[in-house]
Amino acid sequence: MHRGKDLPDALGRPELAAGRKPFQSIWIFLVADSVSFGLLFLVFMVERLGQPVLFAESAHRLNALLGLGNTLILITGSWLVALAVAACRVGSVDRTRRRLVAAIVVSSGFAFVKIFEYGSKVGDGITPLTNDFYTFYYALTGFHLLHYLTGMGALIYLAVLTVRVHEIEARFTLWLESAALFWHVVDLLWIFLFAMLYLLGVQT
Amino acid sequence: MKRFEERKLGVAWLTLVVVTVTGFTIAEAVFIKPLSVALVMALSGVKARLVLYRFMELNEAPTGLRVFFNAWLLICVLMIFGLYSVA
Repeated sequence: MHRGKDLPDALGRPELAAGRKPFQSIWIFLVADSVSFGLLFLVFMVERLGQPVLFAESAHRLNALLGLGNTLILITGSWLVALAVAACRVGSVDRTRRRLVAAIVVSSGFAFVKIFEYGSKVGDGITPLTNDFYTFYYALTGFHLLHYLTGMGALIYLAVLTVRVHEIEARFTLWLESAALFWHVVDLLWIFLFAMLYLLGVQT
Repeated sequence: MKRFEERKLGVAWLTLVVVTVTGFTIAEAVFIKPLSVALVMALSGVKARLVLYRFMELNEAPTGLRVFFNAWLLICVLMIFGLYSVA
């Protein structure tokens, strides 16, 4: 394994890392997080086996168009964050900030859609206590929403930091890359939630 | 070089949008189960892999991470499709 040897060097002097990226500790968290979500998907699907009709009918009442909209929002936000990382790597502070702000603005749409969606569900009298499907629906999307809020917080913090930064430092790049990785996982998990809850709901 | 990297990201984004809309259209319009369900889940797997490889640069990550995320994604797709189909 070569990366252990490269780590201190790459952290202090990324320009000397010979094109190889330093290992980022956020990956460890992301692996643990993906395992947790994978297990939640499994529990949901196993519960579904016990009451397929109830799950099918409930899932059918979700608004798949809202799910589609939120998927497109997260995909676009992820792309803009990846572009911000690319700008950061070539040392352009202004471009990094502009792209981060664009990512934040686009991604904020996810929260508005979610508020509207939860609001209309609760307005219809559908709460986590309605049935087992909706317990899962609120728990899974709520847990995901917590991730979304954490990621947005990190992006906003980094965007604010760019105002004070005149020259991009290695540490800032590392933070931005870590926040970006986290943000892409928010997108990644939503891709599966969208398919499992909304798209398969349409199919039933 | 820079321009090339950014264009690659743009292509990935456009592909993600097209695959997302395609998956949605199949879910809304094709009801030949389990084929339609298999297609929806396979397309989700394609999207997840694009995010992992294009945005998260998994190709540059250590082997352990590559193996983990590929396995995770395959298990999620097959598990959801399998358990949905037997219900």
